[in-house]
Amino acid sequence: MTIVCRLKGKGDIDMNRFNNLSSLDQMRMNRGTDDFKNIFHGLGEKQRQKAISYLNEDRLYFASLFILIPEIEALALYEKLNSRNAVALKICAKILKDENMFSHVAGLVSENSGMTYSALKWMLKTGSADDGLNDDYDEVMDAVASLLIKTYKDNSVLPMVADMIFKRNRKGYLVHDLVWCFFQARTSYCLKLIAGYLRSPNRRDVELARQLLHFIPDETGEGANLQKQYQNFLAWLQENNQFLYFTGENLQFTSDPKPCRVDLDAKYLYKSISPYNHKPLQPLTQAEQDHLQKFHELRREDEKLLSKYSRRMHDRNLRSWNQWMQYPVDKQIEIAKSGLGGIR
Amino acid sequence: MIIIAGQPANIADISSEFPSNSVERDIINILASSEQKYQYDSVNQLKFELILRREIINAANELYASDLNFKVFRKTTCNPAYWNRKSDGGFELKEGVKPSDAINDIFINSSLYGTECATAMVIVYYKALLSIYPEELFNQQFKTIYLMNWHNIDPLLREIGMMKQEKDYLPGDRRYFANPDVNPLTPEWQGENVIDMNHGLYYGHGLGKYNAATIITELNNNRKEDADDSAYLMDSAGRPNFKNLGNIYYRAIS
Repeated sequence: MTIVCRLKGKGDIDMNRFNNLSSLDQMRMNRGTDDFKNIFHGLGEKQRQKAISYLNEDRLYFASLFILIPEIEALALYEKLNSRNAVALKICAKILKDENMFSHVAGLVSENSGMTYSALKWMLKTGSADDGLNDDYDEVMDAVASLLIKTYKDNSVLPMVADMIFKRNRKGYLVHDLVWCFFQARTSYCLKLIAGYLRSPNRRDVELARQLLHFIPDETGEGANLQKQYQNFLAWLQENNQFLYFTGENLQFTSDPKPCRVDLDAKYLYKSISPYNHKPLQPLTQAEQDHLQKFHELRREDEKLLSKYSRRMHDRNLRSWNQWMQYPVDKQIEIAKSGLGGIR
Repeated sequence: MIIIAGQPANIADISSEFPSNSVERDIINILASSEQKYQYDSVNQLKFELILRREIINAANELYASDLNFKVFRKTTCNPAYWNRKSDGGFELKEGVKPSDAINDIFINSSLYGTECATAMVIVYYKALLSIYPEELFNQQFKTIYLMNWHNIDPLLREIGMMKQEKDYLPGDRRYFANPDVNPLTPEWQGENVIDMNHGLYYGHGLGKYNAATIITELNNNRKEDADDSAYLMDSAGRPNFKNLGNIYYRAIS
């Protein structure tokens, strides 16, 4: 049986989950942010050691630490923070350009890259649920996500970041920087995560997912249901995944960013490319270079036709594909247009 | 090459209507000497584009000279007498306020406003149109305004949000300097939206008016520590639908 309790500003929460929270998180969820700060302040004045041990609990959520920054300063507790908390606050000070906080925490720990990474991961993992707390907190969350994705190349955080993007969007909050850093991961995993929201019961989720995936051709037709649109996406991704490259386009640059594109050259030659620099993973042979030269003389529509045909033929019958690739480009088009080989 | 109503344009005639050394003449020269065919229905249609491009540059200069602050979306500011600041950092025209007054106020009480580079570009377009359209026409066409980079753009201006590769880049174009290796702690330096101010200069809000090399250097100074890639000017431009905006203007004044 699940026992549910109602908490101030947090709605219902599973009792077991609540009991597993740290002392401070229980206090925060029970009493709401303002009371929480006052109670902690009183605790710090009367039972300093207890306040310190609460702050340094392993299970502490980052949001509680963040909310208590003014109290930590007022009670002169900076020097009593464990290294995780000290590194986290140093990161916050840098992001928020808070020189005062930085002066308190800068000398506390001489952190290495591993410590910074684990502090960042803790901040996002335990902090993402409280995204929307206030502007400063959200700014910290944006930068933490960005550091984990861009600097530490940690793609395991992408589902959390996707969740934050859609939650924020439901509330009408700013998502641009998060969307930007999300696609900086330069992996089709991003696309899959976004596509999952095409099936969301929330209208705003679906609208945002459609907007972010607008560059994917919709072959489902007008009025197709969301499941069909999702399947259309999966089919498109399966066909193009290894030929995708990421453009870096973002919502600051254009109203219709195309974060990735299909490299038709690669698709035509069936050569995987780097999603980062758009170059083939293996060098092209002379024959492939010759093919490409002719391929580039074609109209865009014919390039699309040939690359699609080539991709499908390669999967269906490698021998036939090898033979087809030997033909001059004109003949390749003729075959592709006639749908020979049962491929369209 | 300029084609008007299916015929090659008389460049000398059109040029003579603008002062020598004017931006309009510079634009005509680029269009006329291009391999690309630039087609217009009438001389007026071409003239409207030339004048609007000039006014885009003028509005950018005015904004540059103003006290408009640079603020990231979370910290944007506006004059609450004219605008509602929204939770995404955008500005929504207040009910009962004349759109023309609200746009002008950004230039009059500029120190009350703060935003980032993309929204500044949108402000430039509105101001440029306001300097050409009669006030009544402007207010009729832009009854609701939402200023927030390239989102919720008025349908009449939707093309400014869409960047396309062009054969020629012209004064008054919206361009973008990308900074792929930006420092993750300062995402506001991920790129700079600019207006091509002619003579190799670009105006970007927050940066100023500089040549491409200077803007690239400035963006490069805000890269992550182990950066590999330099900032660069992207091979694309955003342009309003000059013909449509011109047709609206000529219909209204005729």
